[in-house]
Parts: sequence; C-alpha cells; structure tokens
Amino acid sequence: MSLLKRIAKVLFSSDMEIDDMKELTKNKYIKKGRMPEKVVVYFSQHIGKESECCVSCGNHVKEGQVIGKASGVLSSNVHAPISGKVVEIKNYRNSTGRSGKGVMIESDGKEKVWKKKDAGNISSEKIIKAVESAGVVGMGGATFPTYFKMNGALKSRIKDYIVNGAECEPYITADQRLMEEKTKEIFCGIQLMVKATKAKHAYFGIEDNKRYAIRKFKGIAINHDWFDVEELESRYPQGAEKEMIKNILGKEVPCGGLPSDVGVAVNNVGTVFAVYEALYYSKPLIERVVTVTGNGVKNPKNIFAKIGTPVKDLIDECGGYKSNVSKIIVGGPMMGFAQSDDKIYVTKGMSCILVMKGSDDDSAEERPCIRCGRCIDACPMKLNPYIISAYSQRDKFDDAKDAGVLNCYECGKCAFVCPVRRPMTQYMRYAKEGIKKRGDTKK
Amino acid sequence: MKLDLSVSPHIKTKSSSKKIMFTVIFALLFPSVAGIYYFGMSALWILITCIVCAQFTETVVLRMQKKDTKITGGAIITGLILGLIVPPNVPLWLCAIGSSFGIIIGKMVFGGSGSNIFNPALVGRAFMGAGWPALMSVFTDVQDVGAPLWKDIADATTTATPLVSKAGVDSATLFLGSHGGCIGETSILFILFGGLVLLIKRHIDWRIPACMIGAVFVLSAVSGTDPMYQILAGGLMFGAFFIATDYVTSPMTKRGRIVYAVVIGCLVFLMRNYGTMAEGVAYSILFMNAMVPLIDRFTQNRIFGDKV
Ligand code: SF4
Ligand code: SF4
Repeated sequence: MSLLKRIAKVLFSSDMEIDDMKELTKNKYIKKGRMPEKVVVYFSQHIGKESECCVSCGNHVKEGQVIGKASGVLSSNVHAPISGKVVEIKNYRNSTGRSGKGVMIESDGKEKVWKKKDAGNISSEKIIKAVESAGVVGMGGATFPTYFKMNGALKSRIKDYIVNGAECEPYITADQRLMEEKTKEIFCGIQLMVKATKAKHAYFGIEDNKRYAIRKFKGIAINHDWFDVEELESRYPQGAEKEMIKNILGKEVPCGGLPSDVGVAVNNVGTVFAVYEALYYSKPLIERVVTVTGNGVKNPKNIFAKIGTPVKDLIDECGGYKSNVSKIIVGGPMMGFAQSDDKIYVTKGMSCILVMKGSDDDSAEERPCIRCGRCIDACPMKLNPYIISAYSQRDKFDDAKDAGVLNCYECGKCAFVCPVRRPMTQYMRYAKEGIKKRGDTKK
Repeated sequence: MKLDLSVSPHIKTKSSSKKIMFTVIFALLFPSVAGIYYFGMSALWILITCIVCAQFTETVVLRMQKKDTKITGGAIITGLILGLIVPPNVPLWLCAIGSSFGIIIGKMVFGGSGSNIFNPALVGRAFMGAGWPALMSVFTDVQDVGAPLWKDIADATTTATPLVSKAGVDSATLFLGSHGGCIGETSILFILFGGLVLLIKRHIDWRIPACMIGAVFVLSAVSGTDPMYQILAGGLMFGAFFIATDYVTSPMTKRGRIVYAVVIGCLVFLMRNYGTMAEGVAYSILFMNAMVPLIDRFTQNRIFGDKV
C-alpha cells in the first residue's frame, strides 16, 4: 500500500470497514496436505439428511469409494478420502458443536492416482448425474448439494450463471489461491456448469482486492463473449449470494426467495473446481483447500487437505500453535464457529481454520445503545438490527418477525460495527429460534 | 488449552463508544479555544463549571440509583456543550444550576445514557433561559485581542449579538468570531475545524449539518434576507455540527436524518424571522428531538428484496 493510501486510511477509516487480514496466507501456494494416518468422515456434511452408512467395521475401503449413500431430501454421497480399514463407526462432535455419525478410517498408505479424461462433449443430464454421484456440495460453507441446485436451475430456466469468487470473509484465502493457481480448471468447470444449467451468460464475481486472479480471468473472458468478469468492491459481505446478484445483475432476490426466482444460479469457485474434478477425473469430493491461519499458528498456510483430516494434523503442518491461543474458529471470523478443542475433522464445507491469540479479541464490555445507527447502515439486508435485537431481548418474537428478522443471514456485520458491543447477531439467532419454536407448537 | 467459546462475529470494530466520546470532546475543544481566546478567563471558568457540575450530578444520581458510576464522557460532553452555548458573562452559579438541571431532567429521569429524548445540554440551556432571561441575554463584547486572559469581566463592555442588533457585522468578522455572542458559537472557523474532525472520522452524518444549514440558507435567500448572514450569525453552525448530530436524540436512518435536519432548518428560519426570539436554534432542535420517535417509525429502510 502506498504511503498516501495508508495516510488516507488512517484519516478516513470509518470504523465500519473490516480489516481483511489476508496477508497472512494470500501469497502462499496451496500445499498438498500430508497423508493423514487416520481420517474421520462425517455422514452429514451437507445441509440435508444424513447419508446412509454402507460400510461396517473391519471393511477395507478404497480411496474414492462411496461409504455413505445419499438418502432423502438434500442429501449427498460421502466417499472414502483415503484407502484403508474402517476401524470405528460412532458419533463424533462436528464443528457446529453437535455430534453426528462418522466413520474412522485408518490409512494403509496407498494413494490413488486419478487419471484425466476428456469431458468436453457430455450432455447436461450426464454432468448433473456425475456431480450428484461425486457428492459435490456448496463449498463456500452453505454445503447445499450442488446437483439439487443444478436441477432447480434447469427447472426454472435460469438465464444467468454467477460464479462467486468474492471470498469476502477476512483471513480466508482458499478460493483466492484456487483462482490463481487453477484458473483454467475453474474455467472448464464453469463451462460444464453453464452447459448443465443451460444458462445464457456467466459472470465471474470477484472482489477487487484480488488483482492477479482478476487479470487471469479477464484474459480468458476476452475470448468468450458469454463470460464476463465483474469486479466488485471489497466489502464484507460482498460474497453473500443475494448481495452478489444485486451488484452484478441489479436484481433483488425477493424476501424468502431463492436466486432461481430471478433466473440466476450462484456457485462458489471451490464448488466449480470440484465439479471440474468430478467430470475430468471422475474424482469425488474427497479433498479441499483449507486456509489455516490467524496469529495463533506459527506458519499459516493454504492446504489441500483430505476430507476427514484431523484439524490438529493441519495445525501441526503449520508449525503448531503459538503460546496463549484463545480461540479456534472453523470458518471465518465473521460467521465461523468457535471450537472447544481441536478434536474435529475437515469437512466439505470447511474453508478455514482460524486460530486467534489472546489479544485478538478485545472484549470491551457491553453498554447501552447510543442510537448511532451504524448497525442499520451496515446491514446488507437493510434491517434495523437495533430494533430487532430489542424485541428479541424481551421475547417479542412476533414483533421481531414483522421487523424482518427472518431475512437476517447472520453475517455478523451489525455486531461488528456496534461501538457499544451489543451482541446483535446473537439476538437475531435467538429471535429466529424463538419464531421457529413457536411455529412448531402452533402446528 | 482453555478456549473462548463466544459466538460469531469473532472480531469487532476498533471503535468504541468511549473513543467516539473522546473524539467529540476533542472536536469541541476547537470552539472552546476560540471562545476562551475571545472572551477570556470568564469563558474558561464557565466551561469548567458546566463540565464539573454535569459530571458531578451524573455520578451522584448514578450512585443513588446504585448503578455503575464509571465516567463515560457523556456528561462531560453535555457540560461542555452547555458551556459553549451560554453568553460569556453568565454567573457561575447559574451555570451550575443549568448544568445539573440538564443532566437530571434531560437525561437521568429518562433512564440515563441512551434513553433520553431531549438533548440534555439544550434542556439545561432552555431552563436557564426561561428562569433567568435577563442574565441570559447580556453579551459581553470581545476583549481586545491580546488583552491578558485574566482581565476582569467587569471591565468589559456589553453588546448585543449580531442577530439581536441586526447591525451590519461583516462576514469576515462573523467567520472569525470576534463579535458578541455565546462562548462557542461565534467563531465559525473553529466550529468548522471541529466539525471537520467529526465528519472525517464519520462520527456524525454529514446529512444533518448540510440539510439544516442548507434549509436556512435556501429559505433566507428565497425570502430576501441575507442568506450568508443567516447561516454565519448566531448558533446555527454550532447547533448543526455539534448538537443536532447527537446520536441519542436524532433519528437512526439516513432518510430520517434528512427529514429531521430540514425541519430544524425551517423552524430556525421561522423563529428567527417571525418569532419573538432572536435565536431559535436551541428550541428548534429541542422540538424536533421530541419528533424523533415518530420520524424513526416512518423512515425505516425498505428490507432487501421486499416489495417496493
Ligand atoms: S447479522 Fe443479520 S441483522 Fe446483522 S447485519 Fe447481518 S443480516 Fe443484518
Ligand atoms: S445497537 Fe450499536 S450500532 Fe446499533 S445503533 Fe445502537 S450503538 Fe449503534
């Protein structure tokens, strides 16, 4: 950053902007993770129903073999990330703090080589089928099964396809590195997605702080008039689906609606890369890029890790912890989950492991609201977080609902900007749960 | 390893209410310095009295309510603002009364910080004006620049504020502040310095000063009074940058702030030209403070994706 820019930043910073903290890892090549000795694969790594376990203790599994079959709504296949022996099937705690069924596989040291094949002339249905059987889910964190989205897009005859390369959460650089290192592969993935969804036009939405990736994709876009790169302002939460659609196409997804309601489908770049691998290598989703970062680890890195790798292994690969670690977060600092220990395992939706040191988190005490209005200006959904949190505080869930709390996707920005540290996002969650509970009892 | 399990977001802005308060105090120092420069030691004593009494009153009330008595800066700001909007020769006992009254009636009875409807400094000022109108409308003239600061107030000559006398004080004098008036309201230059600090730090919304001053300017121009004179004289500038922008007593949405500020500007114009008072800024703001809940209700943002 030039000196002038820096001075301007100090002078004009509005306290509402979020430091992106990506310097820690943004120039580090994606490193292939060490082969884990054992992995734990959860059967529920997607938002829908848990997939059905189809192995038992003592079985030998091969890398890429299906071990959990999709069953029911929004479910998705789960595959063995390594070859080896199934040693245990039980409930394991996952990164949201709940526990779910998982399988522990002990490696036999063999590694499969995935051979490339051509996937240029393949029909729409075949692509979707392949994506389905490869167990690809939304890798930005939503873990929505991708084939479901594709089918929905086909059915509602979408016109525009958007690839989300915003990666607006601070610290995370997994997508950025992927975009820089696997540009061609991602573009092939986009071609497949466009073909499968029969979209007319594709847009590549990317925050303007990723100059190099923008240049690379623009270089490709020049030769394809159905493909455009859209530079977006680097501002959290630019990568939120609705925000992105609005900023690229100027369309607002209606309250409670889906992108397909305005004729759009959006996928994260990581997902598109997984689709590429599923088609060109017949490789299921058994590996992903995880950014291991924060000033609590010695040597932050971007690691291409097997699903199921113990988080502790990844941290060891980054040189281990520094002293007085205060928080381990799965996901970014704005929306991630704080963990009680490091005995959890990489999942399809895990883009980042953030380790914070003691002083990272200043917890100035909460004080009464001073009505500064910053939370209102910050909310991407244009809600009034202060009013809603006040309703929530007094259990007035109906009022909270009228004020639109169900539109909140817990981006955390209102709580971030609040100068009196009102835990607004928490109040939002509380109100949403309250409304849900009430709805359940009414039925 | 003991880990913190608090929920997201895990990072927070570096700003805090304390930092905002101190920036506001810092910004208020500009008009304070100008006031002390022009009106001498007596101005300094008034400011100190107001601040000390405001803080003292707040602490006592908080203690009585058995609440946390930590100094947050709010009372200091109230005191400082009150001191800046009274004439430079008000007796100190009156400052003490006004300041305490403002804190108790303007703030504490509503439930303290964040819950008050009216700006406490203006409540104090209104009380002083209503109870002791004679004392509140005598303005000493500025001292000869360079005169010793401790020069006795009794020696000073009295004058009327430019708005009262309607005497032609030229724009340059108005801008620099070497004319009679309230302590912090005369030097537009220094008010702008302070205002700029708040604007750059984005602690205040530019819409409020811009709309308020703009409304007065436009109305004056249309009605044939000198618009420059109207916006430079009296307490308009100070009120627009430092009083109307108070978070607690102004609307929360951008649209609401525009409505609020424009109406204040109109009221100021009407009071000045058709009312019995020479000055109308304080009462206009107080009146609109009362309207804030109403404005807030009707200026909520349209939720993203909601029907237009
Ligand atoms: S957490 Fe919800 S209410 Fe808060 S800014 Fe984000 S969307 Fe708005
Ligand atoms: S809740 Fe926080 S951000 Fe929102 S108006 Fe109050 S003090 Fe400001």
